[in-house]
Amino acid sequence: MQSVQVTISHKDGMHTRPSSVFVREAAKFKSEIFLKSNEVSVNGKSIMGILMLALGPGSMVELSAEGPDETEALQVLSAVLSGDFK
Amino acid sequence: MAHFQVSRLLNSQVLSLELLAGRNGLARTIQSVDVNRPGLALVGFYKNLAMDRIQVFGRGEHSFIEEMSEMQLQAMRKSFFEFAFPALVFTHGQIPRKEFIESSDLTATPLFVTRLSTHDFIANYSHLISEELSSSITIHGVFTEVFGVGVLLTGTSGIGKSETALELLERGHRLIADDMVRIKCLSGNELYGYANELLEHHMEIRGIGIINVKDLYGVGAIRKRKQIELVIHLEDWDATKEYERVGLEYIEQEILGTPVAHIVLPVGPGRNMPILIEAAAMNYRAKRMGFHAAKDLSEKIGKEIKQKKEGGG
Repeated sequence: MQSVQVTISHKDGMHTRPSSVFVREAAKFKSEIFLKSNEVSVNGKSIMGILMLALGPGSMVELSAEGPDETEALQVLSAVLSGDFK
Repeated sequence: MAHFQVSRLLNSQVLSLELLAGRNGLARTIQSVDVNRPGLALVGFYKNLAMDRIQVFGRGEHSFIEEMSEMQLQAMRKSFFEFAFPALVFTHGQIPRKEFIESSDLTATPLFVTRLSTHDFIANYSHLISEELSSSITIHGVFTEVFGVGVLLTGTSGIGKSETALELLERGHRLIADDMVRIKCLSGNELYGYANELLEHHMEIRGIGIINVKDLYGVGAIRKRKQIELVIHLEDWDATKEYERVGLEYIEQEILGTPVAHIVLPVGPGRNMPILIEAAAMNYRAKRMGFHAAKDLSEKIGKEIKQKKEGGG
């Protein structure tokens, strides 16, 4: 299990579109992906979970992955959250 | 320990509170489900005062303050407001003296008035706060009501929980929460499941996207909350694993320290999940009502064997 703290830098926060990009990318990994904010942890492969967190721009979130490809997963997914993903 | 911000009391319609003073203290928190009647504190006896609770002023307390002399009132205000009470509530719509209101504002102690009687207020308040302060967790699953039984479907992502729930809806059952189920343990041994307030009635179906169950299936297809009575875990059929064949008793699973009946349903070709879940829910209901198919059959067979033994000698 590895985890990183990421700041959301999408200017509108994690609304439906960035969230759907996130789950699409998360689903490509074998590892289990979790996002945690304010003590609430959700499954990173579920769009409903991410929408529930309602992450605004600038909010901090703990991204964690557990599984065979956890290192790559964290790299790609933290880029999605911080807005560097192309 | 969970806590509840005083400002949220104002959102509750059942309490019908109106803020009179102390707006600056609305960020104070409540950590106790109990209330205190401050009669003794008003006469200056502060030993063992439950200062962490809200203070409820009924008719007695109100008229006591009304009849205080200026000097008594001043002395009382000075010492009483030293304590950082979460909130003060006057019942029966009684407004306290203006000096009392002033002190609330000065010390940022939220002061409310409600039109309810003291008894009604305390009953509603305890109910609300014990629900809010009870321990809770959020788990991944779909929570449905099937034949009146609260059935929580769990299983790994992509096993088909939401699709199963959709078919259950089509068959006249109800959805409480999809994907994220918030579970609370109330009155010590009852588990209740809720949807997240933002997401309620929404479901994600892979290939379709997000749907609103209330709009598509109507208000009859949804519920706000429900007691969790049966947990059904869906998993891929594993030929090497033994599944329950008789069902004499339920295996129990603990959620928040409370046991709940738990069954594992393997998913495989030719296994129609919604029908199986209906059967499991109906069987659970029957057992609860005293009709226990597995036990009855087992007794019947036991009797038969005994008879044969005695007859055959």
